[in-house]
Amino acid sequence: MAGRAVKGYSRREFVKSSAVGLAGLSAGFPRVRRASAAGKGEVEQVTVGLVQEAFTVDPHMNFSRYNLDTVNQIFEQLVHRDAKAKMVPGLATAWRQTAERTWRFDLRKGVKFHEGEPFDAESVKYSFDRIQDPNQKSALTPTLRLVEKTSVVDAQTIEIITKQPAPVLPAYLSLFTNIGNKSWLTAKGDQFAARNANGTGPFKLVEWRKGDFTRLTRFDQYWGGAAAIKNVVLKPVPDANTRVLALRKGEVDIIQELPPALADEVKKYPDLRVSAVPSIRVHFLYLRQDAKPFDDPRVRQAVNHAVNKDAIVQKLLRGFGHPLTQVLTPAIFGYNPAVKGYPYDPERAKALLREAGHPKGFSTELSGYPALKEILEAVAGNLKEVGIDATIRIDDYGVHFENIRKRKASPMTYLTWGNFNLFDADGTLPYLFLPESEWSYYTPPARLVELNRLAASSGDQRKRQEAYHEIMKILQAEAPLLLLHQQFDINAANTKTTWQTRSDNVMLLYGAERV
Amino acid sequence: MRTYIVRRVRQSLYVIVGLSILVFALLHLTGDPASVLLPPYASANERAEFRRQMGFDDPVYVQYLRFAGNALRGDFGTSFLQGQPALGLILERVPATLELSAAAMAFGLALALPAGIVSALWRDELADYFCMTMALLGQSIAVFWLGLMLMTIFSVGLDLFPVSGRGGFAHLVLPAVTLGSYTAARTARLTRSELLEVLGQDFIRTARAKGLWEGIVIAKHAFRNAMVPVVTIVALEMGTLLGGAVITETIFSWPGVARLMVQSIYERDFPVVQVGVFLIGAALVALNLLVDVLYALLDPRIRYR
Repeated sequence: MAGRAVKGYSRREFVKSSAVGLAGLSAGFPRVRRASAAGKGEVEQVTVGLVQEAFTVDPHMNFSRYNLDTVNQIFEQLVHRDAKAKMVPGLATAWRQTAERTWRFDLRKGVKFHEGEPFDAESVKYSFDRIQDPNQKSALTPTLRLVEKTSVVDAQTIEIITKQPAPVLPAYLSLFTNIGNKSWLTAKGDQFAARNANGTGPFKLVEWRKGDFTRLTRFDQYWGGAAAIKNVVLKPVPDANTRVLALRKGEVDIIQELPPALADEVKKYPDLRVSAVPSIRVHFLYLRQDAKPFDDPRVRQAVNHAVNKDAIVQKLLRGFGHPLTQVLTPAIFGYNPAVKGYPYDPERAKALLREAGHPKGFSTELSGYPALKEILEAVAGNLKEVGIDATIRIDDYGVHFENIRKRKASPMTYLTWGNFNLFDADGTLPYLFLPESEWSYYTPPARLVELNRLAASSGDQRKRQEAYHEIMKILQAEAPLLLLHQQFDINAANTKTTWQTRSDNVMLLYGAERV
Repeated sequence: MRTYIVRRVRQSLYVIVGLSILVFALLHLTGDPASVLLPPYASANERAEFRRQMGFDDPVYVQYLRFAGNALRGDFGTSFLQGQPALGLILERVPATLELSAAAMAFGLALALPAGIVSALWRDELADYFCMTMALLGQSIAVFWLGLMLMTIFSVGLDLFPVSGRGGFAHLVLPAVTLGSYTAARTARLTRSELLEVLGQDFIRTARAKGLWEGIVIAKHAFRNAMVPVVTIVALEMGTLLGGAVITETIFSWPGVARLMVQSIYERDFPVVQVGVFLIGAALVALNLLVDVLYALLDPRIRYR
């Protein structure tokens, strides 16, 4: 398959796409870390107040991001992301597309699992096959839906055949698809693996008292150099106020998910710091164009001009957010800096409504879940000012999403989207705008569908980017969503370590060291 | 008495079976577990396939019979999320819950009984006003607020106790006080009113008239008789403590059953919820039975047939 010429896919495109892999190769040597086992910057113990502990430490069963905060300290993926979310070599040192539907990954040499076994291609194949095995009932199966077959080329090389041309495959292999040990997993069985772990990551699992704490210790033979933090305690502290009190008291060193309202409290203490970064999660409302009056693009644009996003960010989120100009954030491949969004302009909104034949406005319904109440009220208040009378409907979180899936969403329905941490438009556009997606309430123009098909299958990153840029322009005119804001991931810590929130907000402790 | 207990145990089994059917039905009303268990990018087909693998596509009664059949053999299923037997997951949290409930109850009673007696004996005097005002506060303060205040003052401010987690005695104090305060308030009020009622009765007047020392009158004659309703409330309260400590467990990050149950309900981890409800139900039923037996011991007029 590898060398076969594929119609519509030139050699030049292969070479270009391989550039990713070459970049990987050059950076592929074991990274020499400032934090080394030599002792400089060492920290005896770091305790983290998590929102929620892991459900399981089986690397192949759970997709929840809270699970990753534990599991991804212990296990690793083929592709890593640096703190800025750029893809960098992980257990694979380089990767390249060798044919339209074929990818090759060169695996890192000299890597060991915590119990001493060498890491090789068999473990990668076993891990992917296990995730895809129907009998395993893994919740991660959809993560590998692009993958048709994984095969071992030799001990240090793996080949993946995809079901369709998949330029985004490495991104899919960068977060959830952890590599477990074939012989260990088969010998120990599923129930043992749910509670015990043998990975290649910088930390080893030592003790797990469910509901209370998880204790990790650094893996001295880690290929990237031993972590500066010797011991890690992960404690679930579900209440945000308690997390802040525990941080103040010094019981924990890092806490997750600081509510914006508590940020000022944390800032009062000189030995504490707020660590916030723009997330790739965006907040918006669907405007259901399958129902009047949102079938008219002018009405959808009017709604976008009517809502004061800056005020929502400043007043309700206390500045922890950015008003959106488009459905992608600047960190996501495909973001078009030329698209400027819809400035707050009630007069323009009224004019558009008049043009569309609604000089006196209209009545509609806004829906969301309890955590969004304040934002929904602000949106409804803005809409009222241009004559749109929106009733607010609040449902339970689960019911809200089920309504969306079952096509029962309100004309204006709140949703947030996290791009599945792909940092590529492919993690957003097909889901929100293509008719076959359960999440889409939009009938896209043929041009958008065509551009998306091209971008999702081309190996040429420049062509992909052009296609996405054009899609962003089309969406600006079409206004299928009421765009609100990009959220921030807000954590807090004391000044004991250099730990910072990552762009993908995964709580990785490797790389942090004493201040 | 023995016949009575056998009959009550048999009735309790019906209650527990009924409870399990009700919980099963209610859980299935909350929606499709596949929509929570699979990532949001799963397609409709992937969700359907997952439902088939997990047996969620069978009619609810088929799923119930499968669950009940396995449960009879002692197999309560495997947690969807945690990949381990549901019974074991609940049982490993039981010690923490028992520890907290017992400590909360001990704190509650240690505060409530003296306060109730003092209030009754010095009725409408300063001591009574003080105790009953505290009881009113204890019953009306929101648990989460009380917990956070105690934490702010005693853990962060005075540095006496840890903020969160389970460990030694120090870890237990604040959660037990938070959880026990409501019990204390309720029991104190009840003790006072029951004692006042008993103190007004003829046999107390007789006891005093025949010259008994007042201490004996109170402790032996009045208090024991006033205890019958108090025992009921205390036992029911214990049931509430066992299953209803959600807020306290959450605020203090206490690794008990209640927190696991709430999390499992949110995540639609049905096997864990089923076992939890079964065990908490069984504990409540057992407590009720215990109360009835205690009645007979406290009040010789009560006999069961």
